[in-house]
Amino acid sequence: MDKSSIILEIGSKYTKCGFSPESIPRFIIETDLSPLNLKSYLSSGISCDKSDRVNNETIILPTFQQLYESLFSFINQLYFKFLLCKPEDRKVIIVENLNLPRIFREALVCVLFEQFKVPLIVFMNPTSCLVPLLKTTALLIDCGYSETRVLPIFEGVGMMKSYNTISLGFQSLELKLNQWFLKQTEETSPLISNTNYQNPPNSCKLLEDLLNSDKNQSLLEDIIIKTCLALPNNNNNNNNNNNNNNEQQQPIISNTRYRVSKQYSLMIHNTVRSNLVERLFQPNLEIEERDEKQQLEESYQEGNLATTVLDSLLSVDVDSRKALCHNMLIVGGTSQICGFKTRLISEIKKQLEINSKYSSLSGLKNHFNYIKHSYQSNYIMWLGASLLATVIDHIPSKITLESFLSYPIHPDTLRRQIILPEWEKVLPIPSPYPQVTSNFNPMQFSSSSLFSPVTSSTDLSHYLKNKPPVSTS
Amino acid sequence: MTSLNVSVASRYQNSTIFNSNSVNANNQIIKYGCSCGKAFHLTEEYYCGGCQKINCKYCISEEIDGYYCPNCLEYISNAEAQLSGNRCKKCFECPVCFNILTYSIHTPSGQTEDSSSTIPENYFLNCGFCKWNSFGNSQLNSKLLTILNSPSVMTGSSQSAFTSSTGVSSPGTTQNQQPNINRVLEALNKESTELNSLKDKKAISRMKMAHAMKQFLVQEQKHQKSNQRKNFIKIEDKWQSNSIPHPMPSNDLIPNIINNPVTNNNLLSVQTIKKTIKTPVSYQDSDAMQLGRVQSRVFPEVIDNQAFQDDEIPFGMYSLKDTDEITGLDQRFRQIQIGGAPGGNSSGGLDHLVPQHKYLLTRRSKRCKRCDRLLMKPDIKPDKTEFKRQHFAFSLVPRVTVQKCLWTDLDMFELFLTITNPQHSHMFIYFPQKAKTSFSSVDDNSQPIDILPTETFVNGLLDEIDDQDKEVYIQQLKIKDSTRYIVERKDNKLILRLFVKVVPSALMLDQTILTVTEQSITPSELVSTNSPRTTTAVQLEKYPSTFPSIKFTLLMEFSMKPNQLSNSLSTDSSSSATINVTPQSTATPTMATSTVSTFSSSNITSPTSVPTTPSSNITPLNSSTAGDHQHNTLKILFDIPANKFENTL
Repeated sequence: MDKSSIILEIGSKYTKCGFSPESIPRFIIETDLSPLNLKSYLSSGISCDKSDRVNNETIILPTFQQLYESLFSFINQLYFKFLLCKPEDRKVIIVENLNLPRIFREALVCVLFEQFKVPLIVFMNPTSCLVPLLKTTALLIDCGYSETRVLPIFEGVGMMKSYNTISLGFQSLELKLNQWFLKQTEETSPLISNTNYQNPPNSCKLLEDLLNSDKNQSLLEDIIIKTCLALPNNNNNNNNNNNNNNEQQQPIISNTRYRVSKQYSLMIHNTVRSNLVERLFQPNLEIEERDEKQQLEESYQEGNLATTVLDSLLSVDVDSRKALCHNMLIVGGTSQICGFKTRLISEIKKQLEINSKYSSLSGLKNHFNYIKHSYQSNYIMWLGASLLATVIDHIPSKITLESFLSYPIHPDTLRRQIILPEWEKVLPIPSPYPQVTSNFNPMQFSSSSLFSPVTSSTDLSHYLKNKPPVSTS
Repeated sequence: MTSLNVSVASRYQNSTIFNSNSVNANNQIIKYGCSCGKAFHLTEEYYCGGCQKINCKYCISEEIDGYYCPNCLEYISNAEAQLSGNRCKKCFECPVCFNILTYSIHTPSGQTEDSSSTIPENYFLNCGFCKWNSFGNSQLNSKLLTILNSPSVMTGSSQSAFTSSTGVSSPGTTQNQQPNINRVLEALNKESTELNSLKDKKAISRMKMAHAMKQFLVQEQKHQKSNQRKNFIKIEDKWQSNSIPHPMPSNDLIPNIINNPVTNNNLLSVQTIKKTIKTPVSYQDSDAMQLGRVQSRVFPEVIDNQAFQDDEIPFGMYSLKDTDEITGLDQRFRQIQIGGAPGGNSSGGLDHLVPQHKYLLTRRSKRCKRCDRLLMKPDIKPDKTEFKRQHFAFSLVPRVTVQKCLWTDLDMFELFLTITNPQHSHMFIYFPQKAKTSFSSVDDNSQPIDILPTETFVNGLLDEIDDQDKEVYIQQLKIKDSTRYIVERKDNKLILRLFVKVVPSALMLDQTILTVTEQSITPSELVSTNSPRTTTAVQLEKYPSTFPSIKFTLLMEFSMKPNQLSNSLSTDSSSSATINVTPQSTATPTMATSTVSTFSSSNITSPTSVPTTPSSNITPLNSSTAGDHQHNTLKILFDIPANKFENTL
């Protein structure tokens, strides 16, 4: 019997893992590559040591050996603590980010083959997101931890020329919140005592200790998840009347108490709750903020989420724009903030109005819509891979243990000179990887293009439409 | 010696929590090198008896022996664990604080004594830590009843509570998601078959032809040999079973030959076709299909209030007073099937969380990657903690600890090592000196320069039976020891003195420096009179090169049999026999004398040539004994912080 394969999606913050035909990942665990801190490395290839949230940071690129060791302990934990299965028995399917550093992929493959003797590794790209929706066209917006990626997919083919990323994500929200906490004075300190609801003496100092302590690594994350809201239009011009109705129904956002310890709580002010998401949409940072920001953030980019999406759309062919606008697929954990999707669309509309750069797109103003689905957006990419595992034969980007062992070992580095399937064809790769060099687009679902116009009639999403809608309440 | 083909070793941080705590920082000082070039703390390594080498965590392969629940300690077999998704069937975890839930019985207050005995008892789950309970959840509570009532958990209705992981569905998927998933899978399979059929398109057309031909062949060639016909059918059957999708498209226009073979020849006559087609495809149908295709490409404008309904912020989030009412990420990740993120139709509150079955743990055995021998095998019963097989390096390899270290001269210090023999038998240790440069670690900044040149022994653990005998024996041997190197022997411990020189360049000493140092460290003259540096006792000056820590590598061989006390093989074997069996035998004095002779020859005659002469003597012996796996070479990497020295300021 062919055993179900393991699906692995290593994100910069969380790793999703599980078995193949299942519809939910068994585990979502933190990507623990200690002693390395690779959160930004995994998305953009740059790594910074931010261990002591102070100014001194050096750009550190991990070596192969370091990656190998930390990946070994991570995957070992994955197999024997979480998945609890024999690694030799099961194929591994890796869903990966398009810009994953090559050395990381090589290290991952080497660990899986050398240490765990995995029979087969299949690589999948983010286009697998569309499989659970049975769509072939979508504007994929992946709001992750350290960056947001926009990839238009038209008729099953990902368009690499329009691939766009911006280093805005949950991490920037965390930094913003941290900054806000540190800015507070003794009077405005959010730290209150649990007994009398007053600020304790030295509250600033206490708060700073709290933020810097090792125990509270996920404190900021937890606060954002529990309190933050993305209001449709925050204090700005109300673009549409429909939302106006909503706002009349809306009660005033209350201040929230977040219990930190037995003695103290943090009072999260309502402005913080509603304004924190602004960080992802504000066009430019204020200058006074930027100095601090630049210390905390290694790469500052102009723009925000809305402009990134629009930039990507600008570079797409005119004919496919409309289809993409109607099929925005917003995935990633950050998009699970309440009201995030609606907010993103209204921000896109706002940008179309105020920014002359996007005047050529202004006709699409009322055509932005996201795909509604009944899945949760943080693991939909995993789910796609899990479903595609049933048709694993048609996926060309794979590497078997035998072919791995046939690669020669470099005499100096003692590493195998493996050639992995790549998503972007940077160089013509010589054999022994004929599948990659053949003239198919690697961004397609498969070589003979599952879901392509050639084989299937059209969009298969009517399959889902036959049944009564399932998602909306 | 041949085993040490990796010349570069690097020290690794202790990984286990037990060793890495900051209270006892001394745990990082001594690391044992594995043959793969990594060096770990001794307690994190294994010692393979087959290849006589140390195994670090990269050189072992793990396999799962069995599963067990950490709460009820019940052994669960592999198949059972797979069926239940690696979860315990009986134990539940609190959805809020992840504590173990306890079963409680609820008796309604309105019931009287006699009536409560007739109705089944009402069970519910209760968290003793955060006071969560499953009171309102009747579905879950009835499930508990079945779990408790079924004698074997695998049988009966309780199994239906755990959806198998082998099928399409996964444990506890939400109701509204599963039909979607099934549809997607269906579509994917359809696509896949289409692709497959495209692949062997030629084969299909050939088989179709064969099918068509068969009609006529069967009719006409009845008289043919039956085996020929059989062959023909055989090929066909084989093909059908080989390819997963059925090659025949379900087209009503094509007469279904397989299911109802038509006997007459007018297969394609109008009557026959009309008979087979029940619902013919009309023009309206094909038009509708076309229209559907076109309309999937038409995008009407989006009307806002309809479009974004599922992203509405739930009412409770606005007026949230206390964040403890909202689920955190770890709570959500424990029940991914529910989600729990606020937004859409879920409120994000704690109330809809469902207790999860406790996740299982495993008992794993470990094997050597080089020779596949078992290094560690736990007992399969979860309540037993002893091992069936244990090859921990800690209990097989001489343990080395630093007793103290003292600066003696400029950049030179003496190091007192305690070597402990963990085994019951005697252990012979020897420090090969010949190739000391090539085995050092990359970041070494010093080097041992004067070590015990000959082989010596460490006593085994004392048994109660031969306590007396061994004591006598030790006393005898103690006298013969070179006081310059061997400080003390006690029980199964040996305290050894050696000298280490700090070499700033990390590229090792040449002979000239060595000879100079030899003169400066004649024993019992450590507080020398001629050197002004030592008399002034300005301790800092002895350590001008300011490394934060002193790192060096020491090579040590150990074996269970003596090797080079005498060059002749006959005495060698006899001495080993005496040591292992009884120390009072007649052979003891001969061995003692031989020891004396070797010691004297190396020690007294020419102190300057100490490092060279023994190594030249030993090399052939080592190479000869390396083959029969008697000698086990250990690479011990030291990393002594400079502030640990007793006489630093």
